[in-house]
Amino acid sequence: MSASAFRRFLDVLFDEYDEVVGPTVENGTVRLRPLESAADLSTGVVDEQEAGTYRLRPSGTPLHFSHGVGPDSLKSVVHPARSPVWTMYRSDGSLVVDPDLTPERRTAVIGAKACDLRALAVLARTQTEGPHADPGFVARHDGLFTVAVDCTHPAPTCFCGTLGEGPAAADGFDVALTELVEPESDTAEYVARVGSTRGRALLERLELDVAAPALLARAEVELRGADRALLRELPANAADVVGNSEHPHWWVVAERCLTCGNCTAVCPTCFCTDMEDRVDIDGATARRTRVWDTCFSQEYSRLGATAHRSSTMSRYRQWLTHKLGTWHDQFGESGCVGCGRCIAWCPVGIDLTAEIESLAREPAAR
Amino acid sequence: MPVANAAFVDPLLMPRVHRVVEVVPEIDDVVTIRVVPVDGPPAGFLPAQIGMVGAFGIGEAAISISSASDTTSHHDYTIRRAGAITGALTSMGAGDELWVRGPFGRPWDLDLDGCDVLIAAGGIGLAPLRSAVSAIAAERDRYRTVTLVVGARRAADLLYAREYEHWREQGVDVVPTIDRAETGWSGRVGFVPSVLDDLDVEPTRTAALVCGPDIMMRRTADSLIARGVTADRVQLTLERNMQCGNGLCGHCQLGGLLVCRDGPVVRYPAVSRWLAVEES
Repeated sequence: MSASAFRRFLDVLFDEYDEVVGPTVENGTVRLRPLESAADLSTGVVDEQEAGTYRLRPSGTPLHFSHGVGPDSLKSVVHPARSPVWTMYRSDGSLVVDPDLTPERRTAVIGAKACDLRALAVLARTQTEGPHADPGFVARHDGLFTVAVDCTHPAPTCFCGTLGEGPAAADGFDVALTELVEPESDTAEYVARVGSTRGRALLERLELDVAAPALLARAEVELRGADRALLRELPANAADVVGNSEHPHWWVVAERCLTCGNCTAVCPTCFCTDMEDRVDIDGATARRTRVWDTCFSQEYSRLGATAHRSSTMSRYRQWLTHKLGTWHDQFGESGCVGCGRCIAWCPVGIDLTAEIESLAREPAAR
Repeated sequence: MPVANAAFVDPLLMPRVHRVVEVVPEIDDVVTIRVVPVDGPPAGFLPAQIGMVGAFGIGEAAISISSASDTTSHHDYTIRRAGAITGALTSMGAGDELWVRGPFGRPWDLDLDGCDVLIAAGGIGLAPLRSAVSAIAAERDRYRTVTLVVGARRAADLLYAREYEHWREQGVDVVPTIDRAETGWSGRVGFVPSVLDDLDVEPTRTAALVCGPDIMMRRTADSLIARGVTADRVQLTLERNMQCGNGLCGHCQLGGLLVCRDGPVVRYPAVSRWLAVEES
């Protein structure tokens, strides 16, 4: 797919869907946002990420996806930060409740990486596979058309490879793309793969050429390079390691943790929500909204007048124990996909892979 | 005619408006409110199931239904004034309106035929046990001995004290105990677990229902198990911060459990490891 064919591909998406969500540069960050047009797509930027660090600089290429993951994930699309629940008011002295019906929107997303797709599956399990499924989540998830892009520029904060994922998208997409520079014209070109019947139907409308073997070979070289770039890792026994609730290292992490909740906001699988009740200024109408919450707040574990988890230690421990340990008990898998967002966006640079290493060590004799 | 967009709402998040019909002061800071839905009969429930009870514009709290599960005319909620929400709920009077979602959660397993049933309640922990006492009393001949140990700080803090005599008439041996001796008190003195230690227990046929502060439930369960009671026959009901009641919002986690989905009633082995960790 040439750069112009890619443009036609985007046109079809804009045509077919109410909303096309993709990476766009906003305040020096690659954000996942509804795009107005193809021109909004991030272009020619590469990111530098480390613990507590995220910066963009020009890449000197015409590529749209030459960066690792930004702070947003598909969570923002299928499990929005705020979703209205109901409105309550008094009528003739009696309370009346009206549901806030969320209209269904047909959304396409472009630029999802292997870790994003994996995270979407993990998140979906939390919201749809228990005894009760969130109908809003189901509708948003089922309607989502997903264009994956193989991750040729993983950040140093990523470790999806140690969890058996990426850098190429394996499944869970409608269409997957590998993005390359066409050396003759110095423009972007793409290899497209089909992941579903609706993905096939959409690509067939573009009447694309079959990818030449030379192009496929170059794509493979790109991906192999990305595979080698993964530096961090999470050990296979992480679930056992976090099970040691009394390890003194929990208190050491707590000395740095600010309990800001950035890690849970950027985590693509952190699903916790709160019910927020607000009253209009006239006192006559109350509105309930389901909002993202964080286990790092005291309010999260409030029981009556006090917080059950009042220490920073217990809140960090709850987060990591849930993510890597008790998530297995609840949903049959780990809650971590190795995207590294929590490492980059932690204002003090707490790195869960390093914390696991410390927690795995025998505590020093006291 | 334009075709309306498909739209969705989570039915379990939609409340039913209820009206308060009676308020009964219990002990200090605790009242029982009796409520009926404004639009029909109350939902059916099983003992220990929870209603999410809400006050207009303030929020809602998870509260177990304390009336008998075979009462179809109303639900009772016994509520301690602790924060803004329970403050609003406990200040309500007859005629005021509130909302309820639910009932949610797993009830007590009362299929304990032929067992000696030991019920242990600490403080307001008797509220989620009151419906179990009613259910057991209603089918008293299914069980052997039924003993209810109720603990409170002071005699004036014994919840539902006016009902003990009635329960005794129904064949429940009610044993109240207070933390420290006080003038005019001729009953037992001491914490619930130590009072239980003094009771004769036939471990092979004993089943226990326990509700109280975490530490009281742990001590009670550990002590019964040490005396030979099967750990699986010790049921507890847990209190955590529930927000949705649907198992979706994550708030009420305790280790691997989502209390609203896997509880509030659990068998002790499912939580013993987590109750032993402070702030878990």
